[in-house]
Amino acid sequence: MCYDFNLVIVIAHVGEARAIFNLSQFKEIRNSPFLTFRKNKIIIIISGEGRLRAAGAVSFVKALCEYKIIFWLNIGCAGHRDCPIGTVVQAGKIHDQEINRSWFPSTPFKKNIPVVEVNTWTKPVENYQGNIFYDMEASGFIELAQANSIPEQLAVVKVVTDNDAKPVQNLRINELERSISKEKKVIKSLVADYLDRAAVIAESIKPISLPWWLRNVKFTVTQRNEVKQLIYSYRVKSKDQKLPFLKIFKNTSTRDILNQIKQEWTKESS
Amino acid sequence: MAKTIFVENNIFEHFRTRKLLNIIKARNIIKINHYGELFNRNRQNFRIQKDSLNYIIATKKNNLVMPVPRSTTSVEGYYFSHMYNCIYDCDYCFLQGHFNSAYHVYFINYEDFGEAILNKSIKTKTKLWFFSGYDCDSLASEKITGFAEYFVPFFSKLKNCILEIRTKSSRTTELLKIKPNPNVVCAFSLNPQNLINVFEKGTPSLSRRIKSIKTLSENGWKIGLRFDPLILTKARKEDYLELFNLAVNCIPKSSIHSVSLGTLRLSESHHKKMLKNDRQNRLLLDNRYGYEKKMWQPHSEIRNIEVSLREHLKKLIPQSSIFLSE
Repeated sequence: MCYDFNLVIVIAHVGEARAIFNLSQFKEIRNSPFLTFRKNKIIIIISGEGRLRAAGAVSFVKALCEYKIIFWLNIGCAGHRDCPIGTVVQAGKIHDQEINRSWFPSTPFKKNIPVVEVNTWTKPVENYQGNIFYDMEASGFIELAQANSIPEQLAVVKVVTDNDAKPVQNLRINELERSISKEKKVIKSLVADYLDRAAVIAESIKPISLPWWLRNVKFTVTQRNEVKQLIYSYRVKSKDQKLPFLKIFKNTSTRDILNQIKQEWTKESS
Repeated sequence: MAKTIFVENNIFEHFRTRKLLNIIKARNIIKINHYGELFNRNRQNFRIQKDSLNYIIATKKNNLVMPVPRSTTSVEGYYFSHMYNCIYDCDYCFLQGHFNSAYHVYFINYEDFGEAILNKSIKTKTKLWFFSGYDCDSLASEKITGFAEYFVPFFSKLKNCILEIRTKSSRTTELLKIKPNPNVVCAFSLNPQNLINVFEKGTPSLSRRIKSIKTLSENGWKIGLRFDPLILTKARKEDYLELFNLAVNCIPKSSIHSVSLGTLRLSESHHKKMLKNDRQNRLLLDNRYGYEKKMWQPHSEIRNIEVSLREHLKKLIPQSSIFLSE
């Protein structure tokens, strides 16, 4: 059984989301400041254009997640000097031009999806310089999403929708959507891959919770950590996920309870 | 997963960078300012990264040569790291608790390391040890790094210095192309095969390591035998006695530079961090080990066996060449 988690997909425009996902299969979350859709553990939030809106969407959507572990994915469009329209790339580095800061999300996708540097600008870029991809949301997304996440919980996928031959100024939103729509299959398979990988990672970083019969015991922080250590140890050695029940008497000191657990679990696991 | 190489901006055109990029053949290359912005990030999981490795090519600017921590060896000396992290994945490896990231970092400014070593060596006339396998396996990545190719000839000029190349690798191709140097010791970490199977993932088998020891010794290299760490949980005392006999007798005694024995020990902070990252590691949860004086080390039951193993080793090898790590 895998530990449950949420996958949050942040997309700037609803048209881009519609180009990839069949939103009628998702349930719209009403009365929310951002257009938000949910299907099981996947949440799609439409942030709007720009890094501040992306950051706002990330902080808002955290409240909608029912699980402690959240995987984050930003899908959007990007521009590049000469990269062909429709190329799908994953960001290995995100650099914010305004605040001059960099982030490094994970690159969990297949080998044939190139890993690139994405630079986030506040305005659409007119001159594409160097071998860099330009977008407007990635830095805002990752800045907020990285709190309480390991890098493997963050990923950014971009589809090249504009380049020197076809600059963004000359494009209409439905043309951007059409470019993304052509890569629908690829992106959907990447999302499916990401979900599979997320399940494995979630299992290895899931928090340890105390069994119900220990939850009301007022352990100190050190004692609580020691109990968690004993839980790890018991589970690894006995290969049994279910901890054996111990009867805790009222008025027993926490130290005695800890000793009792140590004795019983060590005995049973060995 | 797509492998990425991150390269520091200022060394992108360096000849060692070009060589590394040619050998690794990664399609995805990203420029960074400093390796630390990626490698030293908080909230990274070493275990998860070990399954999807990326590489960093960088220069090391500070602390190029560091004094060896007293808890790791009984001789005084210095260590230097031309690489962070290792291609192998040993369950007991302290690097899991030492670094935030499992990415391989290759430092290419060998000349700066050389200068720092030279500065240490001219300050004293006594013998100085330099260890290269503290933060990595010195030989395992030789094809990529060219570490021995540079440092073995370098140490031949330093008469009062000894370089220990510590490895679990059985790779000898590159070393055999270099003229052996009496100031350089190839030190092989050895453990019984049943332990290698369980705890030393990805490493060459014992027989392959022994074969490499023989080849290097026949070609005039000084050999160090490192029975470190002794893990007496899965292996029995008899397994180690057999290993001692096999290793010591496979080459002429004159080729053996030194033998060292060390118990499995970790600093408390490393042990805790390793456990946090890898909850399935049975070795780290063994009841016969515990915290004592800020170290995670064996209880007396195991220590007594280690003492008797040391006594046995003294019968095989002159005591002067045996070093014990406490």
